[in-house]
Amino acid sequence: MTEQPLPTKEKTVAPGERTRAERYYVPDVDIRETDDALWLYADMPGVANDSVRVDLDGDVLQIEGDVSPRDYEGLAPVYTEYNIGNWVRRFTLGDAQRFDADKISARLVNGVLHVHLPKSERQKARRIPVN
Amino acid sequence: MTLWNDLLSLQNELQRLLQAPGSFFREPSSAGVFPPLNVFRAPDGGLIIRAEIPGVERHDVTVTIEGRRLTITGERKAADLNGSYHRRERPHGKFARTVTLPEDIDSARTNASLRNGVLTLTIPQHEAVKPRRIEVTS
Repeated sequence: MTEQPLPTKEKTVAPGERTRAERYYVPDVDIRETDDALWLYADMPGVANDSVRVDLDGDVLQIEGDVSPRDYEGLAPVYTEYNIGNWVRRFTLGDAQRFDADKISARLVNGVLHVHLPKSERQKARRIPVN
Repeated sequence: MTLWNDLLSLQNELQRLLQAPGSFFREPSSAGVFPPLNVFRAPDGGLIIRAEIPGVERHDVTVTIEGRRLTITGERKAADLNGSYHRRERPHGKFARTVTLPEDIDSARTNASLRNGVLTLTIPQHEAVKPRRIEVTS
């Protein structure tokens, strides 16, 4: 899995769809591969369950999460160490055919997005018995 | 959305302050401090402290207040070690952050909540320092 660089780290308008000027940040991720699946974990603090999207288009996997600006209404900053914005990151899967696209699943737990990409049956690692 | 524009201009303002020499602000979170904190004033004068701690369970974080020092401690558990890692960017391990609270707030009434990986501490302002209108009597 390689990363597809975003046009800029903080893009204002994404190609094709977005018209609102919003900030995007790149979440930290862990990617783990087991014999039967690829797991992706992305830190997306502030994102609610209904504001996260996972899309596989060809071999490009995009994860995206929105932070509600409502949580910050009326608040005046006194001291800040992190900026607030939405999260987005894209990866190119080395060989998308390896995965069973229909069985990809995702869930958000405590602000961490978990994406499970099961390998298709014929791609699973098998131990070959030696006679 | 005007609120986003407000946030954007706020961030620009903060960016400007960050670049100003002798600034009291520290570099944004990528400096590696965990967890990064934001401190706000609510319209009612109360203090709101937010910390991004994605992946931390409620029972793995502790908030203590001693005098005017507020400390957030906890642990972010290491991820599953089965399989092989292609990428490992998410920090894990024990963490602690301490902030000094202003004098005008009532830390005995601190409320803490953890939602979507963001810890929010809400500390009301002391009643005594809230502005009051005094009735003038004859």
